[in-house]
Amino acid sequence: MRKDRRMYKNIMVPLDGSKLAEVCDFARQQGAKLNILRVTYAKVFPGADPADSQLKVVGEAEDYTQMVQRRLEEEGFTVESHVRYGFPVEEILDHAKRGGVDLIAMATHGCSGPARWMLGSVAEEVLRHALVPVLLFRVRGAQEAGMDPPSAAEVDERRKVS
Amino acid sequence: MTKFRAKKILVPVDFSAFSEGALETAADLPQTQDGELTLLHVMMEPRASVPYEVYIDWQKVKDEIWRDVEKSLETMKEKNGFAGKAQHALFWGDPPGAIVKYANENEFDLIVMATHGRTGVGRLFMGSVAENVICHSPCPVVVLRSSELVAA
Repeated sequence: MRKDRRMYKNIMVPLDGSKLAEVCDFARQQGAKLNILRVTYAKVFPGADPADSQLKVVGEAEDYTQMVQRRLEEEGFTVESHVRYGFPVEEILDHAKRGGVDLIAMATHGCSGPARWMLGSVAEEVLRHALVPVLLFRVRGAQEAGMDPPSAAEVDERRKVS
Repeated sequence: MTKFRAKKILVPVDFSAFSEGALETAADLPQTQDGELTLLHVMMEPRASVPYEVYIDWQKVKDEIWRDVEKSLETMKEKNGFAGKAQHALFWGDPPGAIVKYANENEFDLIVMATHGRTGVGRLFMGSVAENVICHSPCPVVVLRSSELVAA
Protein backbone atom coordinates (compact mmCIF):
# COMPACT_ATOMS: atom_id res chain seq x y z
CA MET A 1 0.00 0.00 0.00
CA ARG A 2 1.67 3.18 -1.11
CA LYS A 3 1.14 6.56 0.38
CA ASP A 4 1.19 9.75 -1.59
CA ARG A 5 4.48 10.90 -2.92
CA ARG A 6 6.47 12.38 -0.17
CA MET A 7 8.25 15.41 -1.46
CA TYR A 8 10.15 17.94 0.47
CA LYS A 9 8.58 21.26 -0.44
CA ASN A 10 9.71 23.37 2.45
CA ILE A 11 13.32 22.79 3.35
CA MET A 12 14.56 24.56 6.40
CA VAL A 13 18.19 25.61 6.48
CA PRO A 14 19.50 26.92 9.77
CA LEU A 15 22.33 29.27 8.83
CA ASP A 16 25.45 28.54 10.78
CA GLY A 17 28.06 29.85 8.41
CA SER A 18 28.46 26.57 6.52
CA LYS A 19 28.43 26.35 2.78
CA LEU A 20 24.97 26.09 1.33
CA ALA A 21 25.89 24.88 -2.13
CA GLU A 22 25.05 21.24 -1.56
CA VAL A 23 21.81 21.95 0.19
CA CYS A 24 20.80 24.29 -2.62
CA ASP A 25 21.43 21.65 -5.24
CA PHE A 26 19.38 19.19 -3.27
CA ALA A 27 16.53 21.68 -2.91
CA ARG A 28 16.65 22.52 -6.59
CA GLN A 29 16.26 18.88 -7.49
CA GLN A 30 13.25 18.74 -5.20
CA GLY A 31 11.78 22.00 -6.43
CA ALA A 32 11.54 23.09 -2.84
CA LYS A 33 11.25 26.40 -1.09
CA LEU A 34 14.18 27.31 1.15
CA ASN A 35 13.26 28.39 4.62
CA ILE A 36 16.37 30.00 6.04
CA LEU A 37 16.72 30.69 9.72
CA ARG A 38 19.38 32.48 11.69
CA VAL A 39 19.29 32.05 15.43
CA THR A 40 21.13 34.67 17.37
CA TYR A 41 21.85 35.32 20.99
CA ALA A 42 23.65 38.11 22.80
CA LYS A 43 25.96 37.35 25.64
CA VAL A 44 25.87 40.22 28.09
CA PHE A 45 27.85 40.93 31.19
CA PRO A 46 25.75 40.63 34.30
CA GLY A 47 24.61 44.04 35.38
CA ALA A 48 24.87 45.59 31.95
CA ASP A 49 21.79 46.64 30.04
CA PRO A 50 21.21 43.85 27.53
CA ALA A 51 18.89 45.80 25.25
CA ASP A 52 21.56 47.39 23.08
CA SER A 53 23.51 44.26 22.38
CA GLN A 54 20.31 42.31 21.79
CA LEU A 55 19.18 44.83 19.21
CA LYS A 56 22.58 44.78 17.65
CA VAL A 57 22.83 41.01 17.23
CA VAL A 58 19.31 40.80 15.89
CA GLY A 59 20.06 43.59 13.43
CA GLU A 60 23.19 41.83 12.27
CA ALA A 61 21.33 38.56 11.89
CA GLU A 62 18.62 40.26 9.85
CA ASP A 63 21.15 41.83 7.53
CA TYR A 64 22.87 38.50 7.15
CA THR A 65 19.72 36.53 6.33
CA GLN A 66 18.62 39.22 3.91
CA MET A 67 21.95 39.05 2.17
CA VAL A 68 21.71 35.27 1.89
CA GLN A 69 18.09 35.52 0.76
CA ARG A 70 18.94 38.00 -2.00
CA ARG A 71 21.74 35.80 -3.21
CA LEU A 72 19.55 32.70 -3.27
CA GLU A 73 16.74 34.56 -5.01
CA GLU A 74 19.18 35.64 -7.67
CA GLU A 75 19.87 31.95 -8.21
CA GLY A 76 16.17 31.41 -8.75
CA PHE A 77 15.03 30.01 -5.42
CA THR A 78 11.91 30.81 -3.50
CA VAL A 79 13.17 31.88 -0.12
CA GLU A 80 11.57 32.60 3.19
CA SER A 81 13.87 34.05 5.83
CA HIS A 82 13.55 34.25 9.58
CA VAL A 83 15.56 35.48 12.50
CA ARG A 84 15.01 34.16 15.99
CA TYR A 85 16.51 35.16 19.25
CA GLY A 86 17.47 32.40 21.66
CA PHE A 87 19.26 29.10 21.86
CA PRO A 88 19.88 27.42 18.50
CA VAL A 89 18.53 23.94 19.21
CA GLU A 90 15.26 25.06 20.75
CA GLU A 91 14.63 27.74 18.17
CA ILE A 92 15.41 25.45 15.27
CA LEU A 93 13.07 22.76 16.58
CA ASP A 94 10.32 25.23 17.34
CA HIS A 95 10.65 26.87 13.96
CA ALA A 96 10.47 23.49 12.27
CA LYS A 97 7.28 22.69 14.14
CA ARG A 98 5.51 25.97 13.51
CA GLY A 99 6.78 26.73 10.06
CA GLY A 100 5.41 23.60 8.37
CA VAL A 101 8.90 22.44 7.50
CA ASP A 102 9.27 19.08 5.71
CA LEU A 103 13.00 18.64 6.06
CA ILE A 104 15.78 20.23 8.04
CA ALA A 105 19.10 20.47 6.22
CA MET A 106 22.12 20.92 8.41
CA ALA A 107 25.86 20.65 8.27
CA THR A 108 27.74 18.30 10.54
CA HIS A 109 31.38 18.37 11.28
CA GLY A 110 31.95 14.68 11.61
CA CYS A 111 32.20 12.94 14.89
CA SER A 112 35.79 12.06 15.46
CA GLY A 113 38.03 13.43 18.13
CA PRO A 114 37.29 16.34 20.41
CA ALA A 115 35.51 18.18 17.62
CA ARG A 116 32.57 15.93 18.23
CA TRP A 117 31.56 17.74 21.38
CA MET A 118 32.42 21.15 20.16
CA LEU A 119 31.11 21.35 16.66
CA GLY A 120 28.38 18.89 15.99
CA SER A 121 26.32 19.43 19.08
CA VAL A 122 23.56 21.51 17.53
CA ALA A 123 23.09 19.13 14.64
CA GLU A 124 23.15 16.19 17.00
CA GLU A 125 20.53 17.66 19.30
CA VAL A 126 18.30 18.66 16.42
CA LEU A 127 18.62 15.19 14.97
CA ARG A 128 17.58 13.62 18.24
CA HIS A 129 14.49 15.69 18.73
CA ALA A 130 13.31 16.74 15.30
CA LEU A 131 9.95 15.39 14.21
CA VAL A 132 10.77 15.77 10.53
CA PRO A 133 13.54 14.15 8.50
CA VAL A 134 16.97 15.70 8.80
CA LEU A 135 19.43 15.92 5.96
CA LEU A 136 22.99 16.04 7.15
CA PHE A 137 25.80 17.39 5.07
CA ARG A 138 29.33 16.83 6.14
CA VAL A 139 31.56 19.87 6.40
CA ARG A 140 35.16 18.87 6.62
CA GLY A 141 36.97 21.82 8.08
CA ALA A 142 36.34 25.30 9.32
CA GLN A 143 38.35 26.70 6.41
CA GLU A 144 35.84 25.15 4.03
CA ALA A 145 33.01 27.07 5.57
CA GLY A 146 32.94 29.83 3.04
CA MET A 147 30.19 31.93 4.53
CA ASP A 148 31.01 33.42 7.87
CA PRO A 149 28.37 35.75 9.15
CA PRO A 150 29.55 39.30 8.55
CA SER A 151 30.75 41.41 11.40
CA ALA A 152 28.94 44.62 12.32
CA ALA A 153 31.57 46.68 10.53
CA GLU A 154 31.14 44.72 7.30
CA VAL A 155 27.39 45.11 7.47
CA ASP A 156 27.76 48.87 7.90
CA GLU A 157 30.11 48.92 4.95
CA ARG A 158 27.58 47.10 2.80
CA ARG A 159 24.80 49.45 3.82
CA LYS A 160 26.86 52.41 2.72
CA VAL A 161 27.56 50.82 -0.62
CA SER A 162 24.01 49.83 -1.42
CA MET B 1 32.88 24.30 -5.23
CA THR B 2 31.53 20.81 -4.93
CA LYS B 3 28.41 20.33 -6.95
CA PHE B 4 25.99 18.05 -5.24
CA ARG B 5 24.35 15.45 -7.40
CA ALA B 6 22.26 12.65 -6.03
CA LYS B 7 22.44 10.04 -8.70
CA LYS B 8 23.50 7.13 -6.59
CA ILE B 9 21.35 6.58 -3.55
CA LEU B 10 22.05 4.00 -0.89
CA VAL B 11 19.38 2.63 1.43
CA PRO B 12 20.70 0.36 4.14
CA VAL B 13 17.90 -2.02 5.09
CA ASP B 14 17.51 -4.43 7.96
CA PHE B 15 13.97 -5.60 7.12
CA SER B 16 12.48 -3.73 10.06
CA ALA B 17 9.38 -1.61 9.53
CA PHE B 18 11.63 1.42 9.84
CA SER B 19 13.85 0.50 6.99
CA GLU B 20 10.82 -0.28 4.82
CA GLY B 21 9.68 3.25 5.55
CA ALA B 22 13.07 4.61 4.64
CA LEU B 23 12.95 2.74 1.35
CA GLU B 24 9.51 4.15 0.56
CA THR B 25 10.74 7.63 1.26
CA ALA B 26 13.84 7.12 -0.84
CA ALA B 27 11.67 5.85 -3.65
CA ASP B 28 9.69 9.08 -3.55
CA LEU B 29 12.67 11.37 -3.82
CA PRO B 30 12.76 12.98 -7.25
CA GLN B 31 16.45 12.19 -7.33
CA THR B 32 15.59 8.51 -7.39
CA GLN B 33 13.46 8.91 -10.51
CA ASP B 34 16.47 9.42 -12.72
CA GLY B 35 19.06 8.04 -10.37
CA GLU B 36 20.06 4.64 -9.21
CA LEU B 37 18.95 3.08 -5.97
CA THR B 38 20.85 0.43 -4.08
CA LEU B 39 19.59 -1.62 -1.16
CA LEU B 40 22.28 -2.76 1.19
CA HIS B 41 21.98 -5.35 3.88
CA VAL B 42 24.80 -6.20 6.22
CA MET B 43 24.65 -9.42 8.18
CA MET B 44 26.44 -10.30 11.34
CA GLU B 45 28.40 -13.51 11.27
CA PRO B 46 26.27 -16.29 12.74
CA ARG B 47 27.50 -17.48 16.07
CA ALA B 48 26.12 -19.88 18.59
CA SER B 49 27.18 -20.85 22.02
CA VAL B 50 27.12 -24.58 22.35
CA PRO B 51 27.80 -26.32 25.62
CA TYR B 52 30.22 -28.75 24.10
CA GLU B 53 31.92 -29.19 20.82
CA VAL B 54 29.21 -29.74 18.26
CA TYR B 55 30.09 -29.75 14.66
CA ILE B 56 28.29 -27.03 12.77
CA ASP B 57 28.92 -26.46 9.13
CA TRP B 58 29.03 -22.67 9.32
CA GLN B 59 29.61 -22.28 5.64
CA LYS B 60 26.38 -24.13 4.96
CA VAL B 61 24.50 -22.04 7.49
CA LYS B 62 25.90 -18.86 6.01
CA ASP B 63 25.02 -19.92 2.49
CA GLU B 64 21.49 -20.61 3.56
CA ILE B 65 21.16 -17.26 5.29
CA TRP B 66 22.62 -15.55 2.27
CA ARG B 67 20.06 -17.14 -0.05
CA ASP B 68 17.19 -16.27 2.28
CA VAL B 69 18.26 -12.68 2.64
CA GLU B 70 18.75 -12.29 -1.07
CA LYS B 71 15.22 -13.52 -1.57
CA SER B 72 13.90 -11.07 1.02
CA LEU B 73 15.73 -8.23 -0.71
CA GLU B 74 14.12 -9.19 -3.99
CA THR B 75 10.70 -9.29 -2.33
CA MET B 76 11.30 -5.91 -0.76
CA LYS B 77 12.22 -4.44 -4.12
CA GLU B 78 9.19 -5.96 -5.80
CA LYS B 79 6.89 -4.63 -3.12
CA ASN B 80 8.15 -1.13 -3.70
CA GLY B 81 8.03 -1.32 -7.46
CA PHE B 82 11.76 -1.59 -7.94
CA ALA B 83 11.98 -5.06 -9.41
CA GLY B 84 14.75 -4.96 -11.98
CA LYS B 85 15.41 -1.26 -11.38
CA ALA B 86 17.27 -1.22 -8.09
CA GLN B 87 20.55 -2.85 -7.25
CA HIS B 88 21.21 -4.69 -4.07
CA ALA B 89 24.28 -5.63 -2.12
CA LEU B 90 24.86 -8.06 0.68
CA PHE B 91 27.75 -8.36 3.10
CA TRP B 92 28.92 -10.13 6.16
CA GLY B 93 30.30 -7.79 8.73
CA ASP B 94 29.72 -5.04 11.20
CA PRO B 95 26.73 -3.00 9.96
CA PRO B 96 27.80 0.65 10.37
CA GLY B 97 31.37 -0.01 9.28
CA ALA B 98 30.32 -1.97 6.25
CA ILE B 99 27.71 0.61 5.24
CA VAL B 100 30.22 3.44 5.36
CA LYS B 101 32.87 1.40 3.59
CA TYR B 102 30.45 0.44 0.83
CA ALA B 103 29.27 4.03 0.38
CA ASN B 104 32.87 5.16 0.22
CA GLU B 105 34.07 2.60 -2.26
CA ASN B 106 31.13 2.96 -4.59
CA GLU B 107 30.91 6.75 -4.37
CA PHE B 108 27.32 7.08 -3.34
CA ASP B 109 25.84 10.57 -3.29
CA LEU B 110 23.19 10.11 -0.65
CA ILE B 111 22.26 7.68 2.10
CA VAL B 112 18.65 7.44 3.26
CA MET B 113 18.03 5.70 6.56
CA ALA B 114 15.88 5.65 9.68
CA THR B 115 17.08 6.51 13.16
CA HIS B 116 16.26 3.04 14.39
CA GLY B 117 16.25 -0.43 13.05
CA ARG B 118 16.18 -3.79 14.67
CA THR B 119 18.36 -2.88 17.59
CA GLY B 120 16.55 0.28 18.65
CA VAL B 121 16.26 0.73 22.40
CA GLY B 122 14.25 3.75 23.36
CA ARG B 123 12.74 6.36 21.15
CA LEU B 124 14.73 9.09 22.81
CA PHE B 125 18.00 7.62 21.73
CA MET B 126 19.23 7.39 18.27
CA GLY B 127 20.11 3.94 17.00
CA SER B 128 23.76 3.16 17.16
CA VAL B 129 23.96 2.10 13.54
CA ALA B 130 22.42 5.34 12.34
CA GLU B 131 24.66 7.37 14.60
CA ASN B 132 27.78 5.65 13.39
CA VAL B 133 26.83 6.01 9.77
CA ILE B 134 26.09 9.71 10.20
CA CYS B 135 29.42 10.28 11.86
CA HIS B 136 31.53 8.58 9.27
CA SER B 137 29.51 8.83 6.10
CA PRO B 138 31.38 10.25 3.12
CA CYS B 139 28.16 11.67 1.67
CA PRO B 140 25.04 13.48 2.91
CA VAL B 141 22.57 11.41 4.89
CA VAL B 142 18.81 11.85 5.12
CA VAL B 143 17.83 10.67 8.57
CA LEU B 144 14.21 9.75 9.00
CA ARG B 145 12.50 9.80 12.29
CA SER B 146 11.49 6.24 13.08
CA SER B 147 8.30 7.00 14.97
CA GLU B 148 7.04 9.00 12.03
CA LEU B 149 7.78 6.20 9.60
CA VAL B 150 5.88 3.63 11.56
CA ALA B 151 2.93 5.77 12.56
CA ALA B 152 2.52 6.98 8.98
